[in-house]
Amino acid sequence: MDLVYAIGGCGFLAWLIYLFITRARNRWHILSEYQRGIIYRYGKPFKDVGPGIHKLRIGRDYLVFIDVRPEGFNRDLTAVSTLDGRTAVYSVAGKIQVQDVRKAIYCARNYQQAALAKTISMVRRMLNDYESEDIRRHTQAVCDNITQAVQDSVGKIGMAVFDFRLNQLQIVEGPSGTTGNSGGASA
Amino acid sequence: MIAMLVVLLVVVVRLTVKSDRQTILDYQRGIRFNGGKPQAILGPGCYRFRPANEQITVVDLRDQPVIVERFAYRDSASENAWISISAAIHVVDAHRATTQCHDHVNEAVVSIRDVLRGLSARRASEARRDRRGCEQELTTQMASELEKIGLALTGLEITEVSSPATDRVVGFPGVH
Repeated sequence: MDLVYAIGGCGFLAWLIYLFITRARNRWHILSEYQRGIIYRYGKPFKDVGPGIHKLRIGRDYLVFIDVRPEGFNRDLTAVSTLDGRTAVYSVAGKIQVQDVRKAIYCARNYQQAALAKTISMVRRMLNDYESEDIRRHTQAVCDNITQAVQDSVGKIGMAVFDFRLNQLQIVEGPSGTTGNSGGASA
Repeated sequence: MIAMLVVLLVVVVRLTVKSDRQTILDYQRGIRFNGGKPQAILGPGCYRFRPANEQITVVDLRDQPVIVERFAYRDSASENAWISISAAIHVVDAHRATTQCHDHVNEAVVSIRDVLRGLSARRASEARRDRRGCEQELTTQMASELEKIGLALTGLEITEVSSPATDRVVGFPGVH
């Protein structure tokens, strides 16, 4: 009987020591259902992880995670020159959602900024290549073309744009000028 | 008594040589400073350092999108013109980017705007007709400016060029 007690005591002590060591060497991280991440081992990507509890070895593993919930954006009444020198005014709104975690993490320091920059650039670039008359007469077709181009462009960096709306697209009457966000810079 | 002394000695030694850890990911670089002087550039991995006299600064090498919208200037024909660009900057020389400027994104925007001011030597209509050539020219000029602070420019795109009056299509209502 004494032997059983001795073995049990030793086992308990060993378990306590094991707990102490694992607690000192590891930490656990919980990812929620709307988070995805990559575990880096010695600074290099080791595996992609989804929702759940993940054990990370201190000093060896590092977890980078991102939020995959859709995030809305909008930009109101922005001016852009058309091909024939008139000024078009537009508003954009939509939602961005991460589709490919690795691409999103590596595309830029801030993947949301990157997606927004791609969206704005594409809208401006395309509107700048249309003539005012095309925009006025075929507004819906122009919007559809721009929406498709924006989705393709943002898709390349592992994200998706949905519920994209190009609102209030109109040609400003009168001479064109540097109206609106003149000289603005954003980073 | 001896045991207590040993424990005390261990605690003192641990506190004196206390080290910290820093993980550098594959899209980052680290610079190890010892006594305030740069010692080494660190690649991806886990590093120990002594906070008492060492420091590791982490630099992110990923792209940072930059958009300059409706930058107004007077072109070579003295006409009001404006241009919008989008580009991405990233760090290529971690040491230079850390030591040459405090906020390299703001510094980059300043450099980009300086180069855009140089467009005054060119007709806006030329920039519009030869957008690719203008993009190449701007990329070359901006790259040489940004290189001084350890940065590089990728994916420069002219997203808008104003159309001067001479380029406008005659016959459109409201176009002069």
